[in-house]
Amino acid sequence: MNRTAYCFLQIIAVSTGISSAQLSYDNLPMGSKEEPLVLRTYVPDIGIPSEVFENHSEGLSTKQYRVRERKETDEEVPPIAGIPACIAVNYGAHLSFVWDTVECRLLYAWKGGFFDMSNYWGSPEKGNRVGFGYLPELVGSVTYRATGSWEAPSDRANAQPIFVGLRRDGPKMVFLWKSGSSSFETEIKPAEQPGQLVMAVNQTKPKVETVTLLSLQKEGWEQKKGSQGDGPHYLSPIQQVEITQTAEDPASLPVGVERGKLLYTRYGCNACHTLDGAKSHGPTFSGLSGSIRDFAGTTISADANYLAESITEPNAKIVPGYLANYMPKLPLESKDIDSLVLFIQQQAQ
Amino acid sequence: MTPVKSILFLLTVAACGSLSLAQNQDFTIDDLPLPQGVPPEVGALEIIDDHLFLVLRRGDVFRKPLSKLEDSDGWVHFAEGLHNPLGAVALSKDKLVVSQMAELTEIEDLNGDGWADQYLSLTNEFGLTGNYHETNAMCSDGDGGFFIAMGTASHNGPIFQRIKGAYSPEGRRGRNFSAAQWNGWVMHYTNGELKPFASGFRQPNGIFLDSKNRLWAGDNEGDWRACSPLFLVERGNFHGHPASLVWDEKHGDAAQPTTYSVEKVDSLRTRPHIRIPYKDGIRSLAGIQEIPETFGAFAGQLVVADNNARRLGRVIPDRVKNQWQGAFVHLIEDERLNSGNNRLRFTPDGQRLLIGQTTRGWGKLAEGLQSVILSSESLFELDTLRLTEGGFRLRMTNNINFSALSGDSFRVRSFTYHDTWLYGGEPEDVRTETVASFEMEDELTILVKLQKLEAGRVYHLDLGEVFSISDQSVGNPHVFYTANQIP
Repeated sequence: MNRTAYCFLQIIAVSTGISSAQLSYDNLPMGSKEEPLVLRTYVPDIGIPSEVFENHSEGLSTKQYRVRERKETDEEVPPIAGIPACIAVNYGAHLSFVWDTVECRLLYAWKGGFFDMSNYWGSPEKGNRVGFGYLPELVGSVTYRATGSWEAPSDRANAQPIFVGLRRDGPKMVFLWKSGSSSFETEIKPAEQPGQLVMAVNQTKPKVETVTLLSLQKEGWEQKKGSQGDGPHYLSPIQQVEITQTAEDPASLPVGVERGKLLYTRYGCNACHTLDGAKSHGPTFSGLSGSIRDFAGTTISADANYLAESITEPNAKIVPGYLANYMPKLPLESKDIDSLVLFIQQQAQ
Repeated sequence: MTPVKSILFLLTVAACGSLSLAQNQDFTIDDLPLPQGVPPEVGALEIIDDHLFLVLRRGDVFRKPLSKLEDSDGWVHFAEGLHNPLGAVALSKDKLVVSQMAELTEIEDLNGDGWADQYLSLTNEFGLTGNYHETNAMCSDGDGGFFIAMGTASHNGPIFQRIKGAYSPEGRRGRNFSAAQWNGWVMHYTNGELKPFASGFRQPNGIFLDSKNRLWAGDNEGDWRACSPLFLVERGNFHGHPASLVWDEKHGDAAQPTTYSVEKVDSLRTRPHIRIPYKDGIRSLAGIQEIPETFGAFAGQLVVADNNARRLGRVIPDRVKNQWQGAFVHLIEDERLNSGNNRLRFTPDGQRLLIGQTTRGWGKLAEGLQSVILSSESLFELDTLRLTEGGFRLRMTNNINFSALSGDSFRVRSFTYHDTWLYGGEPEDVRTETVASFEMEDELTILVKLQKLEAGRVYHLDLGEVFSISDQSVGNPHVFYTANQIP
């Protein structure tokens, strides 16, 4: 494919963190071509077809659970588009790829960056440094995405693949896996062209002298047999994948309940404040607004001022039974606070 | 032998309120430097061959010689790329086994340059939905294998469309759920195979095999957990959180174990061997270790970490009618401690307790690496506690001022806990107990008899009015004894 045909759909940023691969507070961790960064994390499913996940189970929608009544409601809670057990590798802006330890195959590759981990790691400014978006966001443009059921090597047994391990050899990643009584090594290293990689699958047990070289065509994998020493084959990118940032920015919404609801999950309020009256680390929002709060003899009505103060100054008034210094101060602007108050007030209805 | 004195009295006891924290001068507490620039989220600690492994939750592993513990340099970046690792057992200076979200991984530096080259999956034959709560703690089985304690998922987070391992729609139901296989189980990895060992856990963020080969696992307050329970885990037992039973062939999806009644769960379960109150004991039970002979006191007892308060606990096992149970008391509550106490390791000389701390994910940040040294030679604490016929035998660490004991010296109350699907719980059926008599067995030891001692209750002994012969008060006076059995 002509390299000029690439469309850089999204290049967000390049890490400004320390050059070492050691992770820091930087939510844009990066390795380099010489010293790749390996990161095991939950990763986004970027629209990979179902048949790729033949060895995964399917997570299903479930009914929202009312913990206090021990009952389900009619509200559906859908699963999200994540993959749980991958190994992600980054070579700086040159190349990133995700290899899956369940399917034992390459899932996708991209260039221009790695992951923005803010959704999962949270940001240092957010007090308790936690993200509830779960899935890191891809930085860069996708150059390869797996399709089709795995067909190569053809002598891969029908048994489920089992991940054996990862061996690191400079820039080369060697993924060890087995299937049935056969053992394999998948070697991946960056190619010279950005976004491209070199991959070879060797059968090591029972030892065969041929190397399975993989080439990617529009219709799926094309398998070739070569001799040891033929060298690996270059994978060609077949498609560009549009990555859409689905996370909605609360600041894009006007002051209101919807904005408050988004902030409630974005800042992880839901970790401690339930909406159904259930006990948790903080008071439930169910029925909170307008209730009488008892501070060892002094009572206060939970009006808008009280709610706003509890958001901006969490330690100002601690209801007996809850912990001081537990809730972090959040970097909220006045529109956020007003929206959260409206959202909490709605929970009283 | 001190003359026997006997007093009959009735006491009213105020509930043990929140204790104001100060500095406990019996202990030296130090902040220890971490590698520069790292988020100090300590998932696991391990010590071998005079080296310390520091395992951070974003996935990096560092190592340094213990001789450089207080130096800011000396760290070697040993490994990277682990997903929320919360357990570690070192096999050598160059080989570390780590439990991470999806895998039990043996990491090895093959060429001795300090940087690991090989990450072997010892086993990944357990499920993962993508939920944040399915974390794994681990310990050695003492025989070349490992126990892995697997958390359930939380309804506060989602699951993924793609699930590693088998999926159970029935297991998906509930507050804390077991939609992926073996969530909520203690598993045993032995001879290259992963086998189910015991079920019924919620969030067992601490598992430990002690020198007597007893396997302890803690759990966290929540649904089916009215307090912070500590279990002595035996093969085949069910420990009270029913979600995991979807993966037990005796129950399974069809039996709908997540709808089991409290009575049914009660009929199946092993009750906590030690119940630790939430507010007055441990809010979030984490790492467990055995106190070595050379620490200075309490040898053979357990120290347990509170992941959500500035304190460490101590567990005094006791055996009654051939069943283990015992007492909980704080080892130290101290304003100098961080509150995210997660993993514990004693240095090889036994004198220094290292604490790895993290709270990323919930709670206020309170992280890092600290150490605790028992520096007092005149400690006045409860040393041991045995349940006797009709009461307790308390041995203190220093001579008791027996003449100062009065009617108020032993305040005892008792209560029960009711574990249900609701989150947490308060002490129920609280009774003020009447102390029938007490007598001095020797300078260190008192026998306290109650008018009534009943099995199935937790006894709270407040030793706030017990003093040493040099007029010291008890450093940590609140003792909670779980009397599943009585003599």
